[in-house]
Amino acid sequence: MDMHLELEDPSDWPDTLPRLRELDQLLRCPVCKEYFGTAMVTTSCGHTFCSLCVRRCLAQETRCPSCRVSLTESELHPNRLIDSIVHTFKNGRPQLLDALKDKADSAERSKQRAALKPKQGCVHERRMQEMDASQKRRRIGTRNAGISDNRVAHTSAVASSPVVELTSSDVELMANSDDDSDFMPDKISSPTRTRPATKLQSSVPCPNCQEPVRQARINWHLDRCLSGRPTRDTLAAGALPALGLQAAPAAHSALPRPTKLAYSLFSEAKLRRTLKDLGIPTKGDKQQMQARHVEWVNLYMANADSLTPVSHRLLLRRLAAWEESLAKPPADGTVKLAPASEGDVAEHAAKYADSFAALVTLANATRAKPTTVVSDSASDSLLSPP
Amino acid sequence: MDDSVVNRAAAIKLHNELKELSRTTSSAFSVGLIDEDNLFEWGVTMFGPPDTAYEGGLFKARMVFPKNYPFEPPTLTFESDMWHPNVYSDGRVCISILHNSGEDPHGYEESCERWNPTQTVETILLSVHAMLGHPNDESPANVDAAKMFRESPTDYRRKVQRCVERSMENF
Repeated sequence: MDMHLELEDPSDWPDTLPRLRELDQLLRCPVCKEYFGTAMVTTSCGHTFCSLCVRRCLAQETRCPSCRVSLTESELHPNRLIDSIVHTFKNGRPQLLDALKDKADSAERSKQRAALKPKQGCVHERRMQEMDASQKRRRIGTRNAGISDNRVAHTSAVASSPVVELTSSDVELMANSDDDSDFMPDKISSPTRTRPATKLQSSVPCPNCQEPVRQARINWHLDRCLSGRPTRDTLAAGALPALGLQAAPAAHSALPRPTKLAYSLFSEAKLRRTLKDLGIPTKGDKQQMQARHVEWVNLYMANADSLTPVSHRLLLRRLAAWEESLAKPPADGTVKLAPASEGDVAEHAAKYADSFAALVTLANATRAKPTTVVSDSASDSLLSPP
Repeated sequence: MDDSVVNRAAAIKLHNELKELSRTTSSAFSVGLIDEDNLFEWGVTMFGPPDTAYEGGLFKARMVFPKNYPFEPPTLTFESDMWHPNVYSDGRVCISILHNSGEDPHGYEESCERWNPTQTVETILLSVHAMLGHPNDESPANVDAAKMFRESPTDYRRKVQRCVERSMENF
């Protein structure tokens, strides 16, 4: 299981750098402990969460998950700066960790060298050391070159399209299906790992601004480039924070926008019809349909908050995956807090019949004398359910 | 893991929490996975809080997380013998922080005491650790233990100490 997880967490930072670890922690959503994905700030109390996380929380309880003040979805606002900071931090993270590791390595080497010093009299050994050191230098050189290569590859990927937050599970979701016809190809090519490298190589330099542009988009790019309008490419490459000023691309609505419903007013048939109109699965009983609708509204709204919304098709697949993950039988040994069964209640009543009788007598006695209504709270609470 | 979105998010949160907890040491509990491949079941050893009847105890417990964690709370079950007003006779722990968010249908618990998705394993285990020393006999899970706790503290203490001894023998 672990192999498939991104093993990135705040403890990756060495103990000597507690501030970096703290920063890593602060850039994570308090609900899911992942880096913020479409950060939303609450206007009433100023806490920040992932859009989807906070919407899922609010579907259960209309309170802020951090401080529990009353909170509604209208009090959520996008916090684009956090998105940009997270994006930058995430990209810089491997480089920074590598640099730290290199530093630690070289410290280790100099320590070793210091330990070898007394033997310097032997010419042969010294030469060996020198050779060794130069080999290491060369190795470091190639490693650095590797890093900068990566960076170049990455920048060009960013330059070609805005960042789409795709989780690796999404990649699987997409891989599992061969029908991706409505999927906007320019939206998913950004993380280099999601598409084969050949896709990236099909870019051509714009004759006007020399920016690498994907062949399929060259005409669109050229139109905008020549008329002096900003192309999305330059915006994304140069100033990611500026994305905050750009209107979110309209979620290409093949499907109607869902709204929250007062489920108690819906009959099962009516709810099924509504789900059908929304284009989401209609199987199951009313409770299942209701849960599906709630999650669909959450997914849809969180997607609408995003600067880089995904297609409806992927959203539908996320909905299906969500449902599938809940339908799985719980792990072995799961203990459900089931309500007490009929048998337990009867047994309990029989066992404490005497106590109950005593309490009833006591209660009747106090009722007879209204001046001393101070009830025996101690014995009362024994009756209460746990 | 599998391809499910929520499930994966739950696993990541659990992974992060486990990493964080294994980095620091607590005087109240220690945690680990029961099966290396299953992040959804943790083994817990709870150290009996000092200056209480539970002092010196090494109580084993099992924590099971739902697939949509953290949107629903985990369950905590003691596997060592336990005598406590808020622990069912089968070991299940009854504490408000492990009860789903929203209002209590019985009206006994404030919504602010209940589970919410920003709670963590650490906050749960610290609450349970505190609960050992300060039972809530107003809303007991084990009525007999609550009654004994209230009416004959000496017997209660003696019974708890037997649990402590057994917990150390079986460790």
